[in-house]
Amino acid sequence: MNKIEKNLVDFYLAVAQTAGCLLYSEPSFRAVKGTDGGWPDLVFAPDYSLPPAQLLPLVSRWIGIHGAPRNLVIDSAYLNRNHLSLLRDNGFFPVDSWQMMQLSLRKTIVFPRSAAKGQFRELEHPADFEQFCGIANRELLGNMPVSPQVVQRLSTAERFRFWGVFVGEELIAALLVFAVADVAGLYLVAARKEFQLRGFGSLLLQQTLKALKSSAIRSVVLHASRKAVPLYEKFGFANFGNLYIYRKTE
Amino acid sequence: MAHEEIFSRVVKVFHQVFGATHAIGYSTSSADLAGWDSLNHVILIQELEKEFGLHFDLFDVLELTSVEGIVNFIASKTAR
Repeated sequence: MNKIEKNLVDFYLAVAQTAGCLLYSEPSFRAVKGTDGGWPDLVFAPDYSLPPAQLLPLVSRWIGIHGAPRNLVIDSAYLNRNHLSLLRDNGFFPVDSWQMMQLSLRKTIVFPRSAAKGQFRELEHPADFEQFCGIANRELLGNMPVSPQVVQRLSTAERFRFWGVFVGEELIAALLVFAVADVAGLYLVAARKEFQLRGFGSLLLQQTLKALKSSAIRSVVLHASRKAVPLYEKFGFANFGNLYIYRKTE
Repeated sequence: MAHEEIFSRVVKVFHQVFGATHAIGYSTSSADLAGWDSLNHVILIQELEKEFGLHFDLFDVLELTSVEGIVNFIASKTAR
């Protein structure tokens, strides 16, 4: 497991513990489930030493018994085109892919220019967290929304930090930082649709990286959707493989 | 099968999945159609498979995020 996947696994474990979600620790995988079908909803940390023909039916049966979570995250190197019929037979469809990306803060980062003007600050008020949920749910999470209660609980734990770019009192772009030792993971990175491609994402990333660089953090990891990869590449993030998200159908 | 016929059948499936009130055009994509999220994407693909009697490759499923892409993909499959 690389540094990027390790941060993801630690992240969902910490989310479950902090936000009071259900956490299942099965021998061959883990799963986390939010309340009322909300975020998070994921089977993760599969045992890659098991052959897919053994793991997939196991997960599939388990989901059948426990209901949600129906989303399974797996390294693309583990499941490939050779496993198509196995995936189908077990009711799994790929619904998304993330590129695993990493940036070292030990070297100098050349920040791309951003014409956007806004105030970068930590989210702290209930109204900030409501705005955060609005953006994350509209732009990222769709059918499994994150609730302001979950976000507010996370914000009280030391390892989670919410940062955003505001124009006046309005939150335009935001993210969640999860740090373990000297590695910080960026999660739920989103900008309001009407402000996308106007530099707010760059401004948010630039200020976040500056803040992390001045702390004890030495590398930053994230999982980028295909759409977001070019932005991260501009900052020097490098690709370390892909994760696929599979959804178990009824 | 002609593109126009594929398009009208694809629109029919979209209306079944997302409701008949949505205007569906060639340029409609997952980024601008409310409700086209990961769950509805799976339902959409399953309904398209039923409508056209096709079996989509699991990894093609990820690429099919616009009406135009779907129509072209089905056209290429049915031309064989």
